[in-house]
Amino acid sequence: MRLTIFRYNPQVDEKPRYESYEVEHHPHMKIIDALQQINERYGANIAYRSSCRAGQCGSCAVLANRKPVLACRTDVEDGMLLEPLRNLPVIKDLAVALQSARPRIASLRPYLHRGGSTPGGVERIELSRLRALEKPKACIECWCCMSSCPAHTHTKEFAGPALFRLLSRFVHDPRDVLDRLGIAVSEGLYLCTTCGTCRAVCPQQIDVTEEIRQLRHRVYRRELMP
Amino acid sequence: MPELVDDVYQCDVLVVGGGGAGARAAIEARRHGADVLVVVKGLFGRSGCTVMAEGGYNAAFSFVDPSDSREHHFEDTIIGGRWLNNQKLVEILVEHAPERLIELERFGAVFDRVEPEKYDQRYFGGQRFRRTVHRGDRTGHEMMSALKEEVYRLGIDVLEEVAITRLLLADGAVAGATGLDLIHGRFLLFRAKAVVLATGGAGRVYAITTNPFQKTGDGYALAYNAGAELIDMEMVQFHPTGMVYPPSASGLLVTEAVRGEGGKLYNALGERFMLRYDQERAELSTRDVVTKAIYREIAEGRGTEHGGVYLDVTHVPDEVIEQKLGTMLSQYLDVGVDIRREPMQVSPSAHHFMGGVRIDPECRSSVPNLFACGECAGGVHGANRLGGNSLAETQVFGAIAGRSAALTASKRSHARIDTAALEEEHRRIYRFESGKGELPYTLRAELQRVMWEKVGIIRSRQSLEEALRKISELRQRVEQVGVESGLRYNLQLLTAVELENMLLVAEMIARSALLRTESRGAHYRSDYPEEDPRWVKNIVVSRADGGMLLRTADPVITKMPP
Ligand SMILES: Cc1cc2nc3c(=O)[nH]c(=O)nc-3n(C[C@H](O)[C@H](O)[C@H](O)COP(=O)(O)OP(=O)(O)OC[C@H]3O[C@@H](n4cnc5c(N)ncnc54)[C@H](O)[C@@H]3O)c2cc1C
Repeated sequence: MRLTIFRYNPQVDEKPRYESYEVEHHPHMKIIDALQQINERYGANIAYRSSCRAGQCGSCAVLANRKPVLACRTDVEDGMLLEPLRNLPVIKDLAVALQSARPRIASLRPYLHRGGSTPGGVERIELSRLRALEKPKACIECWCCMSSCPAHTHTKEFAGPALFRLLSRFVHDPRDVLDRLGIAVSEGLYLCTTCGTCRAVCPQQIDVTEEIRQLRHRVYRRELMP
Repeated sequence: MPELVDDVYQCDVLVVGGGGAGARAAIEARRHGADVLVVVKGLFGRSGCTVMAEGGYNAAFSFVDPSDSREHHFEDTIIGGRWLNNQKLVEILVEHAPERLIELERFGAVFDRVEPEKYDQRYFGGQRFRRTVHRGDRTGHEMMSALKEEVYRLGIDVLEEVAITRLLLADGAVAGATGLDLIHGRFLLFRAKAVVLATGGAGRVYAITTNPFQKTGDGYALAYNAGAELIDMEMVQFHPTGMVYPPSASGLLVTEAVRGEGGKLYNALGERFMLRYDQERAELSTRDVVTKAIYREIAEGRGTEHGGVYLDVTHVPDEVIEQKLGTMLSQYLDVGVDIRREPMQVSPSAHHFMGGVRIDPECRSSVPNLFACGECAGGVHGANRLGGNSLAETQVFGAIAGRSAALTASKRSHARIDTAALEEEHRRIYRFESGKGELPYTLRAELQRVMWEKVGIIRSRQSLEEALRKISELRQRVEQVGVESGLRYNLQLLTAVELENMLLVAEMIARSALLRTESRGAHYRSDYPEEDPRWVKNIVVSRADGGMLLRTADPVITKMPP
């Protein structure tokens, strides 16, 4: 089977090019296996990220036929086109500068802000709250949603689904007292078109669109309509 | 700044590794006033085993089984480790594990509960009580998210995708390190008053492993080359249940929580064979026992069509599988198997290094200013680790290492960097770019294969000597390795640098395994199949002028003699 791969080293290449490679296929072969095989057989030295191979670390997302997927969980197909995620600078080939998102994440103050003193011993958390935290905390930060969100692609005033997921993780946390809704509004809460693309591409099946809807609902209840 | 260095970083405490142990060490060092820099070969919190840990964290809270206690946790750990554990370190582990877990919730984690103020705890192999605290089957991910939040809160600097390649010494003490920056291809110098190694294990020296790509044993090689002692390197845990099919999934972990939640093992004849090997504990026996049992069933022809055995949870209610084993469910769905309806096929996979840098209770190595914690350190688990003890280890000893390093750093100033050593390291790394020969991948694959076949679950004098011959052949061939020269994200160059570390670690394992003429815990010698009471000894490895030096030492025993 043949794969076509985006090749680009911004340091030396004027513009990106596409190269095709022949891959020896085996059942349920994942994209990551194909990339490894290409690098080992042809010395192609394609740059890509990978770590756990098991869908848990979120390092290996790429575009496969223009759709963002985890390379370790997605079967390769004949003729598949592999490209780097969108909306981030390319370091080389399929590796993008995930690090460039860090300042904006930091500006969300992504850590618990507790009111008052913390209790000694095991903290009291209701079981229903635990369940509500499950999905928003399952995010592996693979950036599939960030790469495909039309609103975020159009304007960076909309911080993007992954960052709203992060905010909603704190909103659902009974221990957090910071005004996350205020942050959400200033990060473009109302620029989301609720198209559902983020939900469709999320390998963890997190319904970020629903999280955003709930954030809006909470803002509405606080009569903070912009 | 020496000419060949592209950039210099200066800090009080340099933490090498961004998994659970490294992150926890950084937090504690920062709390003690140190200026901390964390350097991570991959992405922070996402390039180690911690984020993959599924089953849970052992802490004797006795919420589910009131008769559990720290004493019992201690005893189970020593019995599981076949008396090679450093009992002082185990005392510290069981004593601090609960408070460190509560602290993770302070940082932002939440763990499953049976009541609002009581954690749920599950069975794990080799434990007489339900002790393992968890968050579904993504416990490590939950921990790592909380640690990352705390690192953000404290404003700790993190440098990602930089591999530390050498520790630099001044007057026999650690004074800094060199690093290879993957993103920009820069050669970096780090000046530090104290260094904490938290690079995890080396599962990747084996062909079949549960470990992520970054686990190439760099920390063991760094410590060894700096003159530090390592211990118990022959003790490699093969997890009984890795995926066997398809090839792309080979080795991926099938968490012990599957058996903790009631999963049963069957051979191709439909026999629940574990009853023959350990009638009392059956599937929940210690890992060394279950691994050898599965290995035997397969070797004796009772394996499945893909060369594994069956692990069955079809009798467990769907809701339990979906909630408690969701990661496993999707991992198998990805390859077309619905574990709610059909059994999994599993076989052993290289999983965990019990051995590592020899530390004292303050996490000091035998080299001044050098500390180690987490899987990179040795001594806590002895000859076999109990599932769930490692996550606890990362937090308990991460905190200790961070504090010790900060205290040491507060008493010293930066030492002079030896430019000759810097130059030598620069030459060592970039010599690969002038080579014309093989790609490092070929050699790596050969090493992984020989380690799996000759230094794996079953070993013998003959197999170990063959492996050592192969390792020295590969070492010669490394000199001919040639990689592309190119600054950005040069995976070939990184692989070549890792390969040298892997060869060193492989030799430590094989030599130690050859010296241990008995079978104990994870180490099984077909030519010495019995445990030998005279071998209640640790094997200590260090670097000497003529090569690798091995000696034996008595384990630290505080209250539970063999
Ligand atoms: C799939 C899986 C499941 C597991 N489940 C459990 C469980 O349920 N319970 C349990 O107790 N244990 C479990 N374990 C074991 C446990 O996860 C590990 O022992 C533990 O997490 C190790 O933590 P660590 O911080 O020492 O290393 P890791 O988390 O592996 O982190 C190592 C870090 O070092 C970095 N690094 C490596 N080399 C370099 C270098 N040269 N320069 C800079 N950085 C470097 C890596 O990038 C990484 O960030 C599991 C292990 C695996 C593989």
